[in-house]
Amino acid sequence: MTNELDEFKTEILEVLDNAEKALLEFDQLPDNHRSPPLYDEVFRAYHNIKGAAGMMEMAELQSHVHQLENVLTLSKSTASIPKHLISWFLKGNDATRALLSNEKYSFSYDITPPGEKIVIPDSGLEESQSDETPPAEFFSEMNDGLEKITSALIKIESDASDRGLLDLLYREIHSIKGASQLFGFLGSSQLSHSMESSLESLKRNTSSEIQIGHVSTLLLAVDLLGQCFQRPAPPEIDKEINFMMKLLEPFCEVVMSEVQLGEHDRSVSEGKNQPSVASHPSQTNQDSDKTDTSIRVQVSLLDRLMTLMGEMVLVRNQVLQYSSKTDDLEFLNLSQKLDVVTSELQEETMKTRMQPIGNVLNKFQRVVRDLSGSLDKKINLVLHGVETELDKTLIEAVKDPLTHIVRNACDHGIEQGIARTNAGKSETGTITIKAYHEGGLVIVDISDDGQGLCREKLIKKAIEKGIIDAANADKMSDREVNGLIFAPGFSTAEKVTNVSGRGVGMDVVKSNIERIGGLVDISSVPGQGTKITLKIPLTLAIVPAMIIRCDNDRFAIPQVKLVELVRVEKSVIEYVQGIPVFRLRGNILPLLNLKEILGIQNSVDNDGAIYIVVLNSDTHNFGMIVDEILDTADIVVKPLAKFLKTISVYSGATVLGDGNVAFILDVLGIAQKHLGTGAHADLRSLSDKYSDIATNELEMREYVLVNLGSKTKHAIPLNFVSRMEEVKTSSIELSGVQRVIRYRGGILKIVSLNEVFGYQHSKKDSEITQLIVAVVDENLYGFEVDQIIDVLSTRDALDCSLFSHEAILGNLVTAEEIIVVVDVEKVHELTRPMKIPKTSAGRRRILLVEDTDSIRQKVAAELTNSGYEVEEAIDGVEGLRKIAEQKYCFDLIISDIEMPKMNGYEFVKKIRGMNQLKNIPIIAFSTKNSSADIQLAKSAGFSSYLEKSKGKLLTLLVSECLTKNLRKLA
Amino acid sequence: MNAYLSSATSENLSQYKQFSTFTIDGRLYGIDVMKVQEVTKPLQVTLMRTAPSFVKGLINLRGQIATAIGLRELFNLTPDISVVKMTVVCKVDDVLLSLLVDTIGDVVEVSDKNFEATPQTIPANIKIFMQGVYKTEDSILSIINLESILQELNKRCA
Repeated sequence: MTNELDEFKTEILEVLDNAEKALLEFDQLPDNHRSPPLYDEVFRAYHNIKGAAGMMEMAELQSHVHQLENVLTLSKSTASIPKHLISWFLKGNDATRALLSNEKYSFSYDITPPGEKIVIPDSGLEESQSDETPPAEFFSEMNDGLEKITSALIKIESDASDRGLLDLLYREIHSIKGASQLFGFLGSSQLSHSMESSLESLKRNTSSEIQIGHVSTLLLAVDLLGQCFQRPAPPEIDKEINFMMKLLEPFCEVVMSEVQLGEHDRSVSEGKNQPSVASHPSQTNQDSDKTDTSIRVQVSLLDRLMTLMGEMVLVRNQVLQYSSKTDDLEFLNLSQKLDVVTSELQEETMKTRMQPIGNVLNKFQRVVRDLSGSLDKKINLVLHGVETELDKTLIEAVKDPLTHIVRNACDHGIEQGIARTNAGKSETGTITIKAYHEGGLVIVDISDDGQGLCREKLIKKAIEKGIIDAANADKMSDREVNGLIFAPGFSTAEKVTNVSGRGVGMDVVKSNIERIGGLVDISSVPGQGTKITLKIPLTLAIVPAMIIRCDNDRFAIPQVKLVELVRVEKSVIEYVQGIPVFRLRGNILPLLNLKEILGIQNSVDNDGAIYIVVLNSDTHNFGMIVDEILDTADIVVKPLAKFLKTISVYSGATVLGDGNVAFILDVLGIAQKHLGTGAHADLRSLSDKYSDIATNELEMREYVLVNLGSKTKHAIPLNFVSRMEEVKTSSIELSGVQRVIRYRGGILKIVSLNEVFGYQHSKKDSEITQLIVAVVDENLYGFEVDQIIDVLSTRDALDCSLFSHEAILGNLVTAEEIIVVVDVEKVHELTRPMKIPKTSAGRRRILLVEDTDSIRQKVAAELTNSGYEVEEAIDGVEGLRKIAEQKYCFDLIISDIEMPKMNGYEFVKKIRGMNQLKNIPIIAFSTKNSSADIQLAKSAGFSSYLEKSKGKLLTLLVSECLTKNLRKLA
Repeated sequence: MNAYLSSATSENLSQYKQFSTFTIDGRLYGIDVMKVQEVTKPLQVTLMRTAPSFVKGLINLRGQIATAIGLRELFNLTPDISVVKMTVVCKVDDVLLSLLVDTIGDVVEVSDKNFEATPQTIPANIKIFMQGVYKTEDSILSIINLESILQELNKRCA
C-alpha cells in the first residue's frame, strides 16, 4: 500500500512538472497567444492527476485539481492561458504538491485578476486541518501497530489456542484506541473500542477460542483503521466505521452468550457455531510455508539481470557461430551445452519479470465499485484470466490505459439502471475483462454490455470538433467511425463529469499502448455493448527473428510478422501495371523489393531463384524480395535514437552473433509507406481485424480442388482435410461391404465421392487411388477422388442459390469457372454406419458392460446417438442379470475385459453357454492390445476385439457386426 | 563596491575547462571533455539506408549501439571520402552519438577568461552548433554544443 502511494506520488509530481513547464512556456509567449499543444499538455496533466487521485481515493486532491481543470476549460476555445491566470495555476500546482505531501497549504480558488480583485480573504476553501496536527510519528506508529495486529490475527487463525497472541492483539488495539483519542481521531477510537470489546470476553474466558468469522471481521476493521489514518481521510469513512461496528457487535454477544452458557453446555454450543479455526491447522501452515519460498528483489537488479542476459545471448550466438567453423569436437560439444543452458537461463530470467496481470486487474474491482457508487449505477466487474503473465514493465505500461478504459466503460458505456430496464437488459451492467495469451501476445478484452457506440453521435461530434468533414462522414465504415474515439480531444459524453468526458484519454490510451508495440481496437454493437481489445507483446527485450541478407547488409525481421518463406524462379514473377506480383497458391501477392525500399542499385540481374519473404501487416500479406535467407535467431532489441524513428523502414537494431549491427525491419512501416495504405486505411484495417461483425465476406477460405467424374471441379473445404494421400489401389481391403485401408495403425473408411454424387467412376483401374483424408465430427474418412488438382484460397462468397445434390454446399463462381463445393458434413451423414443395419423393426439393442463410469457413459451416449438402444451394466454379474431380466433381448454385446466381480472372459463364456445367445456378436472393448490378449479373447468367445484407444471406430464396428450377423442369419 | 566584488571573483576563482579537440576540414573544434565517453579509431559502421546523409549508420560499441553522425555532412561541408573517420563518442540526453571527424587533437585546458561569444559573422550552418569560442595561444577553438546537435538532428529528421 505504501509502495503504491509512493509510486503514485512520484508519478503525480512528474506530471505536475510537465504542466509547470508548459505553463512557464506560455508565460514566455505574448498575452493570449494561442498554443494548442501547450494547452493540451497542461490540460492533460490535470486530467490525469484527477483520475489518478480518484483511484487512490484522495478526494481532496481530486476536487482541487478538478477546480483547476474547470478554470482551464474556460479558455479551451482560445487554447491560450491569460497571463494573470498563469500564476494562479502555478500556485494551484504548489497547492497540489502540498496536498500530496500532507502539508498545510493556502490557495484561493478566486480567479479575478489581481487588479480588479476586491479583497477576499482566503475564502474558507483553505485546507481545514485540525489545529493540532498529529506528528508524523503518530501515523507511522499507528501503521506499525496495525501491521502487528494483522500478523497476530493471521497467526491466531492457525493456532487459536495461543493466549499470548490474544493478549498482544488486545494490547495493540488498546493502544491504538488511546492514541486515536488523544489526537482526535474519533472514528478510529470508536472502532478500536468495539474491536477491543469484541475480544474482551474471549480474553476473560480462557477456554474459548476465536472463530474464523471473527478473525476476518477484525481484519476488515484493521483495514478500515488504516484508512482512518490516511490524510486526507477518505470520504464517508464515518459511515463505514458505523457499519463495521455493527458487524463487530454480534461477536461481542456470541462470545458473551457462550460464556453464559457455561461450562456444562459447551460441547453443544461449539457444535452449532462456525467451525473453529483450529480445525484447519494444516492448511494455514501450508500457506505460511509458501511465503517463505519467495523473496523480494529490487526491480533494478532484475533489469540489470535482463540486460546481462541479453549480452549473454549475444555471446552465445558468437560462440555458436564460431563453433560452426571449427572441427574441434570437444568445443562443438561444449558450445552446444552452452546453447542449451543459455536458452534455459534466458527463459527463466524472463520469468522473473513476469507478473500475473491480475495484479493490475484486481484493483479495478475497487475502482468499479466506487465508480458505480458515485455514478449511481449498478455495475459488476467480471475478471477472466487474471493469472495471465506478462512482463512487469508492460504491466506498468498498461495500468493507466486500462484505468481509462474501465472508467470510460463505467461512465459512458453502462447506462443508468432505468435506461437498462427499459432496453430489456438486467439492471446491473457488467464489465468483463478477459486476459489471455494468443500467438505470443497477451490479449486483454474489456467489454461492457452497455449502450454501445452511436454512429450518428460520433459523426456529429467529430464534425463539430473538426476531426472529419461532413462530406467524408457518410463514406466512413462503422469501424472507421468507432475509431474516431481514439482521435485527440474527442468525447461524446454530453456532460463533463468527475469521471470522464473531457475528451482526454482514449488518444492517450492508444498512444500508450502503441508505444509498447501493442494494438488497440474497438468494436461495438449499438444497444449491446462495446468491446475494446488490447494486444500487448509478452516482452520487449528479446524477440525471435529471421535474419535475411540484402546486398551486403543483414536485416532482422521479427518472426511474428513472418508468414512464410518462398523460393521461386525469377520467371514466375508477373507484372501488373509494371508492379511485380507473385501468384501464391492462386492468389496475387504484391511484391516489394527490399533493395528498392533501401534505395540500393539493383546491379546484378540474375535469372536464377529469388527469395520471397511473405510478411503480414495488419490484414494483408505482402511479399518482400530479399537476396538471401540466412538464419533464425533470438535477437536483443536495441531501440534507435529518437530522431531516427521517423525513418519508417527500421524499428530497431540488434547486435548479431559476429558483433556487427543489423537493423530490424519495421514491417508495418514499410507496408504503410510502400503499399499506399495511409493513416485512414490503417484505421480501417486495424478495426477490421478484430471485429466479429460481418466478417463473412472478407474471410479467407481455403479449399482443395479435385476432379471427379464430372466436368466441373469440386472443392473440399480445407478445414476438414487432414492429409492428402496416394495409396495403391491393391491395398484397399474390404471390411464387410465397406472399403477400408489400413491407415496409421487403424482402419480408414474409404468413401468414393463419385458414388456419393452418382457420377461415373472414370479411372476405376488405375493403380493409384488418390484419397483426401478428412476429419468430420471426429470420424476419419478417406474420400476417394479422381485427381487432386490444387489448393485454392479465396475471399469469394459461396453462392448457395443452386445445388443439384444434397451433399453440395453451393458454388464458387470464379472468373474462369464454376466450382462445386462439397458439403463434407452431409457426406458424413449420408454414409454414417447406422443407416445400413436399420432392417428389423425397432431399434437394435446393445448391452454395454464396462466398469469405468466415464467410458461407459461416453460409449453409451455415442451409441444412442447412432440410433441404438443401449443397456448399461457395470460388471459381468450385472450384465448377466440384465440379460436374464430382459429375456435375452439383445442384438449385440460390448464388454470390457478387466472388471471387478466377474471379468470379461468369464462373462462371455457364460453367455456363449446360453442357447439364446450362442450366436450374438460380442465385442471385446479393452485396453489390452497384445496379440496374445486378442487370441485369449477370441477363444473365450468374443467375436470381435477393439482397443479402447480406437474407440472412435466402435460405432463402425458395431454396425459391421450387426450386418454380418444379419447376413449369417439370412 | 559591486564592481570590486565581481572582479575579485573572476580574478580568484577563474574556472578552467577541458575540451576534447578534433578537426573537420582543417578547422579546430572542441567538446566539453566531461561529455565525451571515448575517442576511438574508425569502427565498422552498419549503413543506415534511406536516412539523411549525415546519419552514417550504427556502430556496435561493446554491446551498446551508437548512431554515427557525419559532422561534415551535418555542417553542410563538402563530403570528403578520402579521410578515414575517427569517432568521438558522446552521450546526450541518453542518446549515444558517435561523431565522425577528420582528425583527433589533444585535450586542452582553457580558462573561462578566454571565452567569447560566437562571432556574428560565422555562417549560420555552423553557428547554430556553436556555444562560443576560446582563445588559445596559437588558435581559436570553436566549442560545439551537443544539445544543439541533438536538437538539429531531431529537427532535420522530422
